[in-house]
Amino acid sequence: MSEPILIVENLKKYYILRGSLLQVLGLRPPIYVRAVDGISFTVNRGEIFCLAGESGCGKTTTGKVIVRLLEPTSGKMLYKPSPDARRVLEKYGYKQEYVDLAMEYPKEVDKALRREIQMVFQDPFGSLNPRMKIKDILEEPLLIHNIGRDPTERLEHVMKALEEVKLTPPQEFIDRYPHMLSGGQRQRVAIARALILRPSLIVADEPVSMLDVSIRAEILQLMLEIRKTRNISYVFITHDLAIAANICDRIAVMYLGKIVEMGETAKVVDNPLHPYTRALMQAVPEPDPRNRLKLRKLDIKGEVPSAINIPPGCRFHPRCPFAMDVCRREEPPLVEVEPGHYVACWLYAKK
Amino acid sequence: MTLKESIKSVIDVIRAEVWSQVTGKIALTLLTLLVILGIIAAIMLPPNFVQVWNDPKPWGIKPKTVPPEWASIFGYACVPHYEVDLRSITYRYDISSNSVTLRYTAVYRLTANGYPRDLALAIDGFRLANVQSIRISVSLTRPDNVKVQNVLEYLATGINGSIRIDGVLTNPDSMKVASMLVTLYPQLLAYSSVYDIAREYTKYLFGDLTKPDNVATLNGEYRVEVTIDVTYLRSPSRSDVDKLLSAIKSSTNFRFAIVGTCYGLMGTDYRGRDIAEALFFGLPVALLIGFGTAVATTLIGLFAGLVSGYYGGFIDEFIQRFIDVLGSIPTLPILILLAVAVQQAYGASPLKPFIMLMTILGTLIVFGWGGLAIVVRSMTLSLKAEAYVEAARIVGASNWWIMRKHIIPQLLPYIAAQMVYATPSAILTEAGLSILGLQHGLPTWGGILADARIYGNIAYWWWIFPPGIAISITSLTFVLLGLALERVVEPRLRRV
Repeated sequence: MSEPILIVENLKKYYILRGSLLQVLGLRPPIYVRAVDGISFTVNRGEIFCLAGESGCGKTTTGKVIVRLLEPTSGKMLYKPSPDARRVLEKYGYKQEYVDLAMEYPKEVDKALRREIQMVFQDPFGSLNPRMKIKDILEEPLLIHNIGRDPTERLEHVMKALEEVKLTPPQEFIDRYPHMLSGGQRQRVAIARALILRPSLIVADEPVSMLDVSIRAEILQLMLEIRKTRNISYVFITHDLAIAANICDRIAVMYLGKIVEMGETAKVVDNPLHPYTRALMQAVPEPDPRNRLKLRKLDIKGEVPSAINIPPGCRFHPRCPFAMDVCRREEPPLVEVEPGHYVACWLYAKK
Repeated sequence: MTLKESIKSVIDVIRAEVWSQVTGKIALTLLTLLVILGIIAAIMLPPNFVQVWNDPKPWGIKPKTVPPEWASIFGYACVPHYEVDLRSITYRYDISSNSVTLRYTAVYRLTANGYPRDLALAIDGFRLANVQSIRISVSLTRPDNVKVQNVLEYLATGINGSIRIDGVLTNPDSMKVASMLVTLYPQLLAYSSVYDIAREYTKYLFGDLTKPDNVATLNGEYRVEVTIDVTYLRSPSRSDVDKLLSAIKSSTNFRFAIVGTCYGLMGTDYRGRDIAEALFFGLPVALLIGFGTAVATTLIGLFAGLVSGYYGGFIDEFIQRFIDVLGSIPTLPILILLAVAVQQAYGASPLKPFIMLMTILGTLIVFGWGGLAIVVRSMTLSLKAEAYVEAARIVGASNWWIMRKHIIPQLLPYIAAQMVYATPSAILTEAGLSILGLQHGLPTWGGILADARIYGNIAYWWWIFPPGIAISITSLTFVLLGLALERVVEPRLRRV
């Protein structure tokens, strides 16, 4: 097993809800939306780590905190910088092997770290500025990081990046505007923008969920290839367990801001332990046409509670068919039930 | 995309979206015309124009509230104004034992179906030393070869040997002219008294008097002779003539006029001031007021809205509440208050008109940027939440980079249109304030209109309509431009 590149420890992201005047004045405790409520995981070099869960469970927030679009409320994100970034870090006296992304750094260090971790967004229609040409979109990161001495050299970089994401010939694309491209092509451009700075970690926030089913496979294939050629790690955020099962090395299932089950994909998918994971697995569309008329029974009931009023104890207990007394009182710890397979459920914690 | 490129793209958009429309063509043509005229006027503008405009002296000789010369097209009996500047025409001189006589002759052609209003002599800033007295007289030789002597006379005696003439404006003694005419044409008395003749002396002075019962204009060439007699205590020499001539040359005004009943291109106002001049030199002022206010409010609004929307938090709250406060203060009473205060503080200063105008503009700017800032803030709020802005931030873009590359270019078309609409509103507000009585004294279009409201009436159409039309055309230009820019602002109307 290779070394971890990112270690997230007890990461929390709360949003303060501005409520009544009393709360504004501090006479009443403020209300928090606990979007991410203490999660821990590790991403290894060259690994695809999946964050799965339904909408509102905090997986996108986690992704945005990792790329430092959002500041975490608390917790650590230890990242192992590449040699290039390490040089900049050492200049400023950061000698540790891992740097905490949750902290603030001087401008130059900040820039060097930003170069290491990039993101691919869900919506390829929104993530490219409609007023900029593809060339300008891809040149922007180079300009910000002073890569390439002159426009021709930067253009070469841009061409290479376009070739890497299989937009060939690149000359045909550089002068186009985003609205002249198809969804799949745009997502390729977005991936090229993430790649052009040669990052070590890419947070892919549902990169294929807005694409046509026919194109999904191509984009996923492309991402897998890039991992192979560049040994990049991915944090792959998805709500689609079918995709997760196909491309992830390890998977973490989130529910209401917590990881409820985590482990190697094969173990989690073939042997889901947490009642929520099981329900998710049951909801995956059945590919076998013989089963198309079979009624599938879901064990769980009700809706996801709001992140403002998280139920006490195990946050899944109001919907859980196996809820016990202890579930209503205490939060279950994340325990290792078999090597590399963790579950947060009292059903397994007792053993 | 650099700034240069974004400017170029704006120009491209103007060419593609504005010029392609009829309104856009009209607007751009008018705008170019106005700007070129404005630049010409600004270059030609005499440095002391405002002072001259407000000084009654240089205008005293001009006819008061007379229509333009082209009014004759509509059947108005128009006698053009005639003026001789004695500082620049040829002369003859005689030296006698104790005096020097300068004789100026000029030819006045009367070809109208009417009579001049008056004769006038204006002298200002004349200084001559070592003389006893000076006598200036004008005589007129009519086309029928009758010479009317001493139509106009002015006499000044020296004090301690030196003569100073300041701000003198003399008209003929009508009784004297009348009695002179009666002596020359005794038959006049059969039809009218000397008093009647004196009352309308120009009618008889410039009339065909062969039929005294029915006097008509005597058209033809009148020879005007102006004689300047200077008496000395001793016998004068050639050098005294030179001194006299240089005294005349260096005076600020030395003119004789046959005051007409119409004047110039645009007529005159109640003080005899040339309205055409005010209209022409009012153009750059109007454009400056319009552009200046529009640019300032737009820039402040853009900056405030951008900062407010982009940074959020306390600064956003502060700016927005500040705009609320500004918006709830009524502008007009504040303007009146400030105008009165400036009037009190700078009433005597020659800079008063300028300070007053700047106060008005400053107030318009201070109270004018709020609306735009609110709109820019809301646009910025939605733009900064776009995924491509987040993508740029992940890449490592600074705030300034994001504003420059991703937010301002998107705001630009809207800002441009906003600026275009703000321009006429500033011009109109300035004019409106002048009419309301917040007079700054500058010869702006609003200023002319304000004068017309106080001192004129609807019969003085040349005084009221031209500035109104000028304001309307300028506003129309910008409104048409705004209409044409609508396509740029509203992408759904755009043909991409």
